Amino acid sequence: MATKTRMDPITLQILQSNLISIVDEMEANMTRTAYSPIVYEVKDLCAALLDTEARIVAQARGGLPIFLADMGAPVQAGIDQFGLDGFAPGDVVLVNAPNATGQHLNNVVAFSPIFDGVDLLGFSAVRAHWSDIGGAVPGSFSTISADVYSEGLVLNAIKLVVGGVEDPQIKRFIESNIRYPVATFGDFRAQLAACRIGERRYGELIRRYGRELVADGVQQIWDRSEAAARKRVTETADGVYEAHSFLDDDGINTDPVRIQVKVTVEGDRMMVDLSGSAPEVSGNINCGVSASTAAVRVAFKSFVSGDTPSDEGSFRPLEVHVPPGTFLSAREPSAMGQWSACVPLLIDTVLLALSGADQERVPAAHHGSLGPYIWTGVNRLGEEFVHVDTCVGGWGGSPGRDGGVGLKTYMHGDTHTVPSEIEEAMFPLHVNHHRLVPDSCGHGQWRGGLASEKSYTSTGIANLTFALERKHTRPWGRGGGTEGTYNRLSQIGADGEMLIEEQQKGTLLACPEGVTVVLMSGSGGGSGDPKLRPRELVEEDLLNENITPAVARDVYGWVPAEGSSS
Amino acid sequence: MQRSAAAIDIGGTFTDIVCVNPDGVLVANKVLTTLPNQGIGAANGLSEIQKDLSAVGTVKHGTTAIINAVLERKGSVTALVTTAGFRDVIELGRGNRPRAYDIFYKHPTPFVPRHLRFELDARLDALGQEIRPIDEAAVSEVAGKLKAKGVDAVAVSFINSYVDVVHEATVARMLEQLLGDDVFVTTGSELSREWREFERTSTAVLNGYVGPMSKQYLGRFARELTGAGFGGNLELMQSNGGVFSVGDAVRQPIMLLESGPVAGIIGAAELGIVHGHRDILAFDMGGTTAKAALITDGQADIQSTYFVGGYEAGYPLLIPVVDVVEIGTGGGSIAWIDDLGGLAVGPHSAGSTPGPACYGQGGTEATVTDANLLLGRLDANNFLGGQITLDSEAARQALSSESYSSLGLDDVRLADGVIQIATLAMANAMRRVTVERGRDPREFAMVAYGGAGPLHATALAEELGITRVIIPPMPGHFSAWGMLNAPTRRDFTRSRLVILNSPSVKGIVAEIAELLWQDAAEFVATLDGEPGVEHVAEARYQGQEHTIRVKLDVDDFDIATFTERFEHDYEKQFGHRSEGELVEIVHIRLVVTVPFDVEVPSPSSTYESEDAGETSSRPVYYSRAGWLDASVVARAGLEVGATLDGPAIIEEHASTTVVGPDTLVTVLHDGSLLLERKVD
Repeated sequence: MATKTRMDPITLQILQSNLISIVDEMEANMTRTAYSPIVYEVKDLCAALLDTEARIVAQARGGLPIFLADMGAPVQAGIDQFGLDGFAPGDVVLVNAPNATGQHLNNVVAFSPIFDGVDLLGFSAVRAHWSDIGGAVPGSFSTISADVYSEGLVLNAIKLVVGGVEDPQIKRFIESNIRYPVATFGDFRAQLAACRIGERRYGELIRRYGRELVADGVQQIWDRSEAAARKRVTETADGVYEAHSFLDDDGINTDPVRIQVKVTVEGDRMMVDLSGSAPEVSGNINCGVSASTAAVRVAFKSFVSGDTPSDEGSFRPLEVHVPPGTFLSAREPSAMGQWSACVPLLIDTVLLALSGADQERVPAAHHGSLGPYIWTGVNRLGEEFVHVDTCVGGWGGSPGRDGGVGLKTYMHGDTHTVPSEIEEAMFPLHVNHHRLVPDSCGHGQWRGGLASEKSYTSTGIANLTFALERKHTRPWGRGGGTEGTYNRLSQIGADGEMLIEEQQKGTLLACPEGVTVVLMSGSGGGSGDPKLRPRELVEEDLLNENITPAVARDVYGWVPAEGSSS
Repeated sequence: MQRSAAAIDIGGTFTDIVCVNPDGVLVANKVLTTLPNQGIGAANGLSEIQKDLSAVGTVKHGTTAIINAVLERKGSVTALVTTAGFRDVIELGRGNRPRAYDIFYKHPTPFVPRHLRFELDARLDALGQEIRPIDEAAVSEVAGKLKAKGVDAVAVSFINSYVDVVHEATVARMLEQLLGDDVFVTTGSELSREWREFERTSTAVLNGYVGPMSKQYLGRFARELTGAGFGGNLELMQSNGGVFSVGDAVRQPIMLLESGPVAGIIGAAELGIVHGHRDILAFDMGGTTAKAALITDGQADIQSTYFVGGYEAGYPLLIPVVDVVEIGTGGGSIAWIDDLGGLAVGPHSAGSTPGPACYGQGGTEATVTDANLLLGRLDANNFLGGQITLDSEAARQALSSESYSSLGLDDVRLADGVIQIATLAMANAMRRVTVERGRDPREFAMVAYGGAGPLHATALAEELGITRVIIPPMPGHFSAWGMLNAPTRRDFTRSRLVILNSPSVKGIVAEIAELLWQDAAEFVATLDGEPGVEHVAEARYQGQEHTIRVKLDVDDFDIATFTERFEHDYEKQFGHRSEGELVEIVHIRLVVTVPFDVEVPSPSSTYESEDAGETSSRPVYYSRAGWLDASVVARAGLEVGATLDGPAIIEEHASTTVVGPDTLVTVLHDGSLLLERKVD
């Protein structure tokens, strides 16, 4: 390693711990003061410190796992715009341009320069999902937008705050073009306050240790992260591993959309090539290179080691290649409203390829549908409301253990569903049930987690926008295990007639009073031959009504004990 | 002569007892915990220091037995009776994965398996209106199944019962009649009136799970005390920082989970008030963990959702628990090299067997205690009053072990590194309760206790910029002393969204206050004298999720006054406010307390029996200064008003206080040590 070692290992450890505590504090403050459920509950946010080359010094750990060392590109876009000498203390820059972020417009990065006197030290940055960024539909969330202009405002490195003073014209301009300006600017204030925490505490750190020592220390931290990751890659068998899968459709056309993955492990390097994936699509499930790269990084990190910090060094052994022109390397003005639709399946597919190198470290597929559903309408007080959540479903089985239930996807982390009691208290919705679906799992010696089903009846004016996945490429089983079920919605009229038998995507589906919708999630794939499942586990599943006797007999080869009534 | 009172704090290894005897003198005892009947050791231990138990008017008791039953999954066979369509709520949880990147993640296994969860079709809506009534025949049918399954406990928890308890109460009463006394029946709404069905159901289930064993434990404990001659009130320490009657404890054993750690925090608050500090950081360090809590204006903060076994373990409880941050750093914490090649300390602990290497019981990995010994901060011949002789050579060997060689540090620098990393981990825990809540730790005094607290308090205070540290007398027994001081207390909470946008709000607040007073009526009726009453609102800007706690004046509620108080507190915590935006109240909590009416003297009186010893000196390693010659004094020999300059080591029976080189120690009137760091 080229860096001269100036910092002893203890001080280095203390520096790293301090850096992580800064970004965690930024994120904690943001979560506690956010206005939008998607920020404080879904944790659709992320906080980071970057150096003057837009490299990640530290990134917080509590946000969505997908936000993995991916704050560099938006900050770089700001540097490109203003130049390193174009910042002054107190500035705050907004970036959501898909060419920089690779994500949908709602994900707005706010960043501010950190100064020591007149010297620029780096940047403090916070990304948050704004509830609305304008465009054709409430929440800027549709399944049918066809270009970026219909999705909302593009903020391409806009200085909203100049030298500590908010620019009233820019603020008025944004306010006039988005639907929930009060909540959104509430979230922005939370972002701003979090940036200020980063500025202040990073400044304190520099004053305590000195700039040079911190810079050297950060290099050493990166080198350490890199060495740890390389060691894990070296432990993985060399080889070329391929897998592919299909998203159901792009929201406009009905053709399935291919994801192609080739993983090459060579000593301490891992190359992931997404060549062969489908071209840019006319619907809005496109995403940019930085988003598809982040998805690959999630798979990489889940495979090699989940509990180390994320920084510039941790991904040095990983090279991701996404050729231009694919739907995973889209550019403006392609629509990217549903940019993350591909993420759970892309992670699953990279892991499937990697399972060729090591079966033990990869379960069968999970339900794998991001599954956002958004209720809009009018609440009991006559006010407009928006309520966002995502489906939970089953995860895949793996040797020695059944898959979990009631979980979001691999791109989610500590993300909570909204309780039924709060939904009933705040929105014109009655929850009929939220339950597991017996027999729904992918079967196997170690079965997948069961699907779950949530049923709502509208008690007023409500519309539902939803985007479900995995009908084409169902959650696969492994080693003789069967595949899981896919995600679907059905709708039943007030007098009991079936209005929609099954549908995966819809925008502003009307659900007037008395109409019921049932969201059924997918389940996890099974692992190993179901006939090898230990008898006591089959009987436990029967006792708990996770499976029916018919499935126990037909799939698991279970024979009732003599004299038994079942 | 005054009424005598005692506190008995039972842990896994030791039972700590303090007692104010009829002459008003404080006596203390530490005995081994007796298993399986902890009451025997407790009654004997109390009799040793207070011969006539009939003179004892009150015994306050805290125990780790209940939380251990949960952590070790040794509770009863428990069933759940819930709303049709919702029996899987406790299995589905909230959909979250606390360990990002764990692709094998599963929610923790529910305490009630699916086949013991039964559904009833009764249903209320979110306003408390009945949609479908209780079908009595269906309840009888469920009761039949419960009998057939042979369950010991039943939790009844229905959707929307936070609004109206009628369905839960009715079904619980029917089940009690149908199942008889041998089955423990509990409901979610008698434990919590807050919304969120997963958390409230989880609370009911865990209360059921520990119900039968707690009833048995408390009965046995009371019998042992009675058998030894005790005829007074037995009160139990709750996680909210107060005590309640044994009768209440039998109904609500779940309130007893964190009684030990919380008692120490109550003690820290009490001690702070004695010395004129109303803002205190309580720091408690023992063999396996360190705990931190914030005390503001003489009161410990309360959190309303608590996770038993830690957040990742995932069993939430909607009960008031003193807000404690706990981390796996204690005297026995093991130093190791992490994935990145860095030095890490804890949470793995050497425990009591084999214990730290220096215990000479076969431990080979270096622990915090080994580092303390090598650096001269502990005396090999004076550990636990000389009961154990520590093996310095074993500590040195552990710290010179090959497993740490990649760091390239000699044993002393490694030992110092272990102390620094442990200190940093504790400082970060303290930052979570201060800085992340908008409080500046430098404005606080630290009260440090627990066997290892005084050893590390100086370095920790320095890291946080705290200049004043108070070490109570008898830091190893401090939790029991805190328990003895605890008031009688119950908390009652109601969830209801109240948007502060019209004059009618005043009426709504009064209405909720009235409901809370009805909830409290039964408890208040049991109290002697006038209780202290306080209301706290959990409030936020309209549209936010997370709330902050703000004092509420229910008799003279005024939107402008409340909003100003909310915004003031909000800005203090988060650094900004959103003037002009609507504020809403989500929950209102009523806290009813009666202070303990027995005068509890300072624990310092217990030093009289100890030998003062002579002052000596030895080399002690300090992180910044290196090796210094520190004076070594016995705490029992320090008189009130005495001062002492650091560097120094102050030794007593179960603890050692490390005094930094730039620190002045003053012995306060109650025998507490005040350590003041001279700031340059």
